[in-house]
Amino acid sequence: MRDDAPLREPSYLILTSLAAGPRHGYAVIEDVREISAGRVVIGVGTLYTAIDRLRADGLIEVDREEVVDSRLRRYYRLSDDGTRRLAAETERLTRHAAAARARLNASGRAALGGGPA
Amino acid sequence: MTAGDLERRYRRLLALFPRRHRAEYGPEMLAALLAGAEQGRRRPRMREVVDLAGAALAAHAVARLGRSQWSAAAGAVGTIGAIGLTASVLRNVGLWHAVFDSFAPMAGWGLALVVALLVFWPLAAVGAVAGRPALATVAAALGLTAQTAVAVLASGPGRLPIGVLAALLTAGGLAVWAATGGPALRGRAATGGLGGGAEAGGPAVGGGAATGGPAVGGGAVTGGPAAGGRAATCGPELGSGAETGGPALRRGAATGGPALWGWPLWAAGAAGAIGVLTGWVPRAPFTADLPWLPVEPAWVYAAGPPGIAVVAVSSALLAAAVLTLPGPTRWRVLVLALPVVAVTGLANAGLHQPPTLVVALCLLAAFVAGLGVGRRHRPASNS
Repeated sequence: MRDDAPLREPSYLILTSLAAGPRHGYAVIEDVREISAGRVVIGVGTLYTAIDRLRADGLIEVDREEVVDSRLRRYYRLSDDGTRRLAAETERLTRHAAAARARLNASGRAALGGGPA
Repeated sequence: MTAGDLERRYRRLLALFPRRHRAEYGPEMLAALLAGAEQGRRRPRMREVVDLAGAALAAHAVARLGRSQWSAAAGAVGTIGAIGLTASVLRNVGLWHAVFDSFAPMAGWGLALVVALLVFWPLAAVGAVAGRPALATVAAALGLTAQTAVAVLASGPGRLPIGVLAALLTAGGLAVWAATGGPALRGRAATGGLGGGAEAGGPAVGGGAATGGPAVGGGAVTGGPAAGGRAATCGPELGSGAETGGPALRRGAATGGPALWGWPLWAAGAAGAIGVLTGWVPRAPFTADLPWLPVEPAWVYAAGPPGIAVVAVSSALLAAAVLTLPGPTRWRVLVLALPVVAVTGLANAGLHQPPTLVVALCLLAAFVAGLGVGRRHRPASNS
């Protein structure tokens, strides 16, 4: 399996969202909107495509199901694999970001990228 | 009832998803959609429509293909190739009386090799259809060896007949398919199990979900459902398939996966059956090459209108076998099969069979290209 293939952004953000604890689908959408400062709004179709894949890869699992107002709510949580994967991916992204920042600083162009607003 | 309108429209969009996906996620997707809709909205937003339609398409693709589409295409090429080579050798047995002269110099060896072909190619075809890539690959490798030996004994090592090229392609396709985990057929066997239970659909789908059924392309495929599908499809066919190739195909198509493998297998099997027949019909024009590709102009001309009709029908069936594959697999199959089809076309145009040296160089190039593709798909390390 492609355990180490880079996660796509929606998947990464979904895992990030679930790192805070079990959530149902719509709560994940809201949470992602919040942590991305409104930049990423995951559509329901995209969300469940990603959820299906993450479940298949064993990164998330069903926590519990509830019926609220006669609507099904299924809560998902990170699996141990998912936690490891999120940590590894975050490490990778941090390294890349740090390298980018260091080089931008070294060449004195940091301000061009978007200095303090 | 504005809320009712909106819900109805969402339901209609959700109906675009494959059945398994709907059963698994439909209710919660509907709940999430409704939760996201502001008060008084009657129609889904455009971006929701686009998002859902795109996701539904992706889900269909995953449901049909698994995720590794090159692997699926390699499996399709290998499977169709094994069926064709099975038909080819069965046809050659029919042509025995005519072919015998050219085989005479090799005496006992020729006979032994033809018997080997008669065993290995049907075994490869049955293994492929039954979703056992490893078995199919080993059988195809042995078949390729025997095929090459026959060609070298019959016409020397300078040039390779199209049959050997087809054998190379088949064995290579099956090997790639086996090496990459063979998601398509096995996934097909798994979903075939799910869908094949049209009568017993409910529990099967539940079981699939429990054991990782959603991972049609993932590693989970090697788990329960696939094993079940395989157990259902293999075994009894080995005997009957070795005789004719027919019953095994039929059963494989029925239980192995109606969605992906049904039509392509039927079409390839029918083309193969026609090819076999042309070897057994008295005084039929013959060629020792692929039976259901329009080979060698002399074949057609010697046969007159009936021969042209046979070639046309079997070519159409072969085209149908490829065209009924799902889109992303289809064009990959065409890419993979192109070298052999092109060589066949050149041979038809009156050119010679390719020198062995050229074939070896092409294989080297394909190997390097394959490495490149493999590297691109290999995960970036992230310690």
